[in-house]
Amino acid sequence: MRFRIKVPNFEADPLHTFWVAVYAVCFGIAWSLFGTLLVHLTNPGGIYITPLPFIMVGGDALAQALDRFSGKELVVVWGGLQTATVIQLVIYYIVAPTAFVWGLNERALWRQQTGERKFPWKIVLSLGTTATIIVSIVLGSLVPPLIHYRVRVSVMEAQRIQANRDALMWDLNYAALRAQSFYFVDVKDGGGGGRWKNIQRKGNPTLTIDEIAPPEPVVQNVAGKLFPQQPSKFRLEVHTADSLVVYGIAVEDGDNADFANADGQKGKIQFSIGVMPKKIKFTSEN
Amino acid sequence: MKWVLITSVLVIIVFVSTFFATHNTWAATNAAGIVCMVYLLIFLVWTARVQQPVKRRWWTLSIGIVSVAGTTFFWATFHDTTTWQAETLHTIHKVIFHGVSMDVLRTKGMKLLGAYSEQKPPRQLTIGEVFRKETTFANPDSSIVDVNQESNLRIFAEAVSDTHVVLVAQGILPIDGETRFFQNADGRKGMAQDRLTVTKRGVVYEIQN
Repeated sequence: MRFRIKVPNFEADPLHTFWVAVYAVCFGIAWSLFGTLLVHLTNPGGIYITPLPFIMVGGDALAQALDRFSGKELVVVWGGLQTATVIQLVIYYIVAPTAFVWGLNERALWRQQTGERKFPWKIVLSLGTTATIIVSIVLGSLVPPLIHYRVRVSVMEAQRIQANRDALMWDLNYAALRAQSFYFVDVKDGGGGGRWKNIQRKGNPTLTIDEIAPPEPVVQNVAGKLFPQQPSKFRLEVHTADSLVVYGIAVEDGDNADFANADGQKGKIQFSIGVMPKKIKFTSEN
Repeated sequence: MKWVLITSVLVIIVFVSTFFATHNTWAATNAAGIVCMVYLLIFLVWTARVQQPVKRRWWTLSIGIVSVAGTTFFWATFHDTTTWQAETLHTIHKVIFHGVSMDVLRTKGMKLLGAYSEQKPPRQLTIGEVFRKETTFANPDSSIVDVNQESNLRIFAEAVSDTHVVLVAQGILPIDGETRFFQNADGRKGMAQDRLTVTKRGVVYEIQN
């Protein structure tokens, strides 16, 4: 048959592709067991050994970010991660490629030789110990970068929308603060004198959105570098002298595409905040 | 063999020196990674020049170049993504802090402004006097108005006078603000901090850092 291995050649050639694959699998299993044992003995429950050193470092950076989030003071000192990373860099990107290519060249030469030949221990060792590393580097450079890139784009888009939602909620709270402040200030000092409607002042007797809406997206001051906040729209309904509702409409689409927004649009994210002189009530509407 | 040893030592030296100079594992890994990449590219060129069948030479070169390019791309995007995620986490923390602090400061500010404005004219007490009357200081020797474990906030009275009261809110947990050199109310530097100023003309809230 076409694909049947010719047994006599196969047995006579210890550097046959089949045997190289067997050596690689055996050494690969040995490597992973050795790595697991080493991590278990030196740093149990600590770092994770991955085939690519920068993934290990990135994982640690995120672990540090979580520690920082929970209020821990970060003191970065040399430890198991740094040792493992530098060893991996040397083995993966210097020693393994060199040994593998040397092994391939020597294998070709050995197989061309005729007559009595000793068992090629050096070639077996160089190919066997490095093949799994080279395969992991080659495979790791082909598909995962594209998957990672796609995931990254999706996560960033989702985070951008979430950040805008958070910022809009914050801006509505700020508008509520300004409305409450307006309520308690005397008319002669530019306030409502204890009311939001029928205010005894020149001009509009009702509080307007221009008097309380944030002049610019406020959170952008602290988060703008990472999330350029989209300008939201605000609408105000003054119900009585001491109750009003402020609506905030974002540029992104909300959950319900048929939702009628307060500004006449359809389906956009919308929050509202009901305001009384000393109370607020926040509602997510779409 | 000689070049493998020399490059390995160089990678170790670059990694260790960058790490101790910056205390940043990513920076050390990137610096050492550049040395590795230069070595790999030189090694690939050298491999292609060694006498070997043309077919195998092209295979080696193609796989090598694709692997180096793919790994570099993966490395760079992974670095960007994890850095972005770490910074995002911090930004979320800051936004939560500013949201909570605004809520707490607003409650205090409106209580004060409400109590001041509810006095019938002519008002007997100034805004500072109303504040002193209504506030129990957490510690009589300091300016700490409130230590709220639930919201992880410390509220300080930065200034109290007849015309205005200034309150500042700072996190109990360290949350880095925008400017590293900002002097905080509790003596620390560079932490997030918000300020609320109450006058008879109303309440003004601002993110200080």
